[in-house]
Amino acid sequence: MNKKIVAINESMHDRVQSLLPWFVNDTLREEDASLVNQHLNVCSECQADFAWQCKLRAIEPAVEGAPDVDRAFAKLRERIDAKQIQSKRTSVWFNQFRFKNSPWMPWALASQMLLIMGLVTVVATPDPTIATYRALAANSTSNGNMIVVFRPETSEQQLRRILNRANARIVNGPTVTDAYVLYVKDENLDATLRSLRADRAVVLAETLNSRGKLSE
Amino acid sequence: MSNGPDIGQEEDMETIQPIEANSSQVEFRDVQLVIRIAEGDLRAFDALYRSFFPRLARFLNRFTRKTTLIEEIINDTMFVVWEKASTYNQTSKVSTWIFAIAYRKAMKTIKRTDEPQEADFDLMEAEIEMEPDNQLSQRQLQQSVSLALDAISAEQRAVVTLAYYHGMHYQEIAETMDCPVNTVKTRMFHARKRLQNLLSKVMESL
Repeated sequence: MNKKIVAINESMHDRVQSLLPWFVNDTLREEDASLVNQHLNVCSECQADFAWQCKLRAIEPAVEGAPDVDRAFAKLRERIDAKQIQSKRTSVWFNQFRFKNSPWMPWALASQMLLIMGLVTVVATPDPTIATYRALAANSTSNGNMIVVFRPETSEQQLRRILNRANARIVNGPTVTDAYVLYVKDENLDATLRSLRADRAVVLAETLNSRGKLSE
Repeated sequence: MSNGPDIGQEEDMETIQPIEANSSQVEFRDVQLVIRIAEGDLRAFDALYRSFFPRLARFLNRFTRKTTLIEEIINDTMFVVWEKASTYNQTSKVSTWIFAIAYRKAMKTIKRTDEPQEADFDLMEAEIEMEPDNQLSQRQLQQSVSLALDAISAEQRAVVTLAYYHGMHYQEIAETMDCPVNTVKTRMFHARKRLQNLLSKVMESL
């Protein structure tokens, strides 16, 4: 019977030991304080510990040195004031930005904004006089007036040589039938057609009408 | 009251004078001050500063003896209070909030300044002069306790100081030190064992 009680008390003893400092400073909740109180009545070790902690609590070391509240607060006020001045400067800058004292500022800013928008429009609009680079192709907006089919084994280098000699530009292609739509100046159309047809690399060369169909 | 810009609303100073009151009244007063500080009321800040200065000085004195450093840490702490008063959400006591800031600032400052974290108790205690009749005066007792506290780790010292000398519940200490409650209890347990060992002779004389 005694052994059982001792076992329970040991568990309680550890719990009370962990709570004892807060029993000493009187911050425990009522149920914990009651538990510690009950245990203290039967545990001499905890009684001694409690007494020791009360003594230690009563001997709080004195503050060494002399921190001065007025001196310290004066320093902190300087810091706060400096921060407030800085904030005010920022605020003044914003106020100026909001044209409180400059009635002409909105007009100046509006003019500036219009100028910027105009410049952006000019820059963003493509210049029709500047040719856009397209690999082996002309501006897709141009209409082709000739169609040509090269032999499958024709190299890219040969193809460029032939087109340059014929003074023709690719408008579209290769199509699904490996045909290229070309643009040739009207005055060169016949000569280019003859030149292309004479080339062994060319399988087919025909002129197209304005609707993109083969000419009759 | 110091002069300065933007003192804030006119205030009846009687409402912010230190008062003899129970802890819930003090807490209510502190919360009201923080609310007013959040509105930029420097008088309320002055009152809160003067209310916390001695408590923070006592706490910080356990980590450094340098007066200028103590004042610097208090000012760093209270500057945060001034700047962040609007973020105080009343989920903890004002004192817990302020001590938590002070603890963080102290640990950071002490690491930065290479202040010694723990002292050699035996070496230092030998310098305490005994009274002719071998009895220790209150001042000598305080010195011995101070040296013993210096000899334990900074974390253990913080727990002991906050519990015994600032009357904090273990939950408040856990919030102040940003650690679990069990860590607080463990630190306290080991600190007590060490202090009992260091102060055995001193305590016998009482």
